[in-house]
Amino acid sequence: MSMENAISVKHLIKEYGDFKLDNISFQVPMGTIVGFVGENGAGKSTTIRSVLGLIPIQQGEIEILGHKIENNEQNAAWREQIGVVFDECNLPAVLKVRDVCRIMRNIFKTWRDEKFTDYLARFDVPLNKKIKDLSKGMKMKLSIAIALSHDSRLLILDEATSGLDPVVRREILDIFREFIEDEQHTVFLSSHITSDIEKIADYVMLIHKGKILFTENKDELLYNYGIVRCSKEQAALIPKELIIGKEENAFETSVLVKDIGKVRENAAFKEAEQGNKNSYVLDRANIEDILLYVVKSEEKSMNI
Amino acid sequence: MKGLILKDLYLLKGLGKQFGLVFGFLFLWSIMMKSFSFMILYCVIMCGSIVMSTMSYDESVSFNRFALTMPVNIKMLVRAKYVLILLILLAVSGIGALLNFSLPFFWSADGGAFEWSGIAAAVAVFMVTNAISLPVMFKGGVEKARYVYILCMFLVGGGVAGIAYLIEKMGISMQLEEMLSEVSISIIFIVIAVVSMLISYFVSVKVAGRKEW
Repeated sequence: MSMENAISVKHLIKEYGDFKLDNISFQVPMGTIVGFVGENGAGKSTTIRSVLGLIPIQQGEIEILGHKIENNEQNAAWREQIGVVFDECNLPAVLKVRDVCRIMRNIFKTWRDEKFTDYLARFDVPLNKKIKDLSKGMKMKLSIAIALSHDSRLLILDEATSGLDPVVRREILDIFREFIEDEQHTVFLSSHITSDIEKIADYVMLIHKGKILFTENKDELLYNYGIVRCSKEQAALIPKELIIGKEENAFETSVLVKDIGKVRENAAFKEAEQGNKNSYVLDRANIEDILLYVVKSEEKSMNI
Repeated sequence: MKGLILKDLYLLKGLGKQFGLVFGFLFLWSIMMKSFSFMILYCVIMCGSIVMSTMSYDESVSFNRFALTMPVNIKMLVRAKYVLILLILLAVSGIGALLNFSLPFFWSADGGAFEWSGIAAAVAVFMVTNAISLPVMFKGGVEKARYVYILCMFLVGGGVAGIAYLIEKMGISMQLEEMLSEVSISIIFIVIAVVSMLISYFVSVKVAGRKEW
């Protein structure tokens, strides 16, 4: 039983009619924030629901906090240690926030009223209001307060920040940062808002059409990945193993590469840099660029 | 499970005014008609719609999916609804008993007879109907279950009424009444109700266990 990883997934296969999580494997190290990115329909939610045991899987091994997840899991005690937030507030709208506290007290053994009320005070969520009278931001804050008000060691968030304004999103991201400060807590955050992932994640995991394309350290990813804007002839000189995606138009070719250092070392590019002849531009790539290039190049290869 | 039942009770609190009004109207009606039987019967039937209402609230926000990310398993989720039905039924039966005992305050001793076997039959119809519609609710959602519920009410209720009519036509009624006391008839109905609910519970657990949440 390895406790170095908060989540461990091996060879997971989950097939729907026209969609398949295709033999995916990944780990979420303890004490980190892992951002899970991918376009809509890439398989983020299916992966999360599989990990949580909410849907039966065809094949694979899943462990959360050392607990092996089985299809139709009956042991629910381990869930005391996780907090889950989906993209909407999943509490009936007619309930009052105060009622939620009483309900959760009777669901979680480790529920702490004072922690919950502290979070609500910090988030400016009134106890006396009904959930239907709260704004979307407040509803999400309420969901996050629930996830944090028991002994949760792992937060799993599925598009929890989507649809929120930047101020609320920043507030929520700050809380996640605080949560992992003691290195015993972990956050697994799926989002298509790549800027959020860029702000707080330690690792980035990219999923596309049911396949995990990579899991990389965010800093290394942002340091190494880059976009080379150059001529078609120059682009042809870039070693194929470095190329992630390519875009071409009449004026220039831009290539997403996984190691800009190696491109710089390439003799042809060195020459261009020194002689300023047929010069090229090298930009750092952000997560959104990486996502877009990957998706586009995949679509292109399918059209061919 | 306690938390789940508490959640449903809070949801019902919101519907309290609505049910209070209906209850008040029926109470006055019963006083005028010198019988509480209809009132209890109506309340028993209404219990089904109460449970459906809580499920409808849950469904609209995918509460069950959320609940299954907490220390709650499928069995607890299903059991909570069955316990809620029993609690509501107990409450209605309690009100029924209370009204029964208070009969002499409203009418003279010879007026306002209270038919326990009739109430037991209504409870049985209600529970069999719920026993059929609850697994449907866990499989296909509240909307489908509502249709099944109404259909079952007609089929089961109609069936029971039809059988009673035939029995009476064939002259078996008198013999039955001689053979079985009202208490025995009531017990038979209660046994039918309990057995159907038990079977239904296990089917619901199976159905909910296979569902993708």
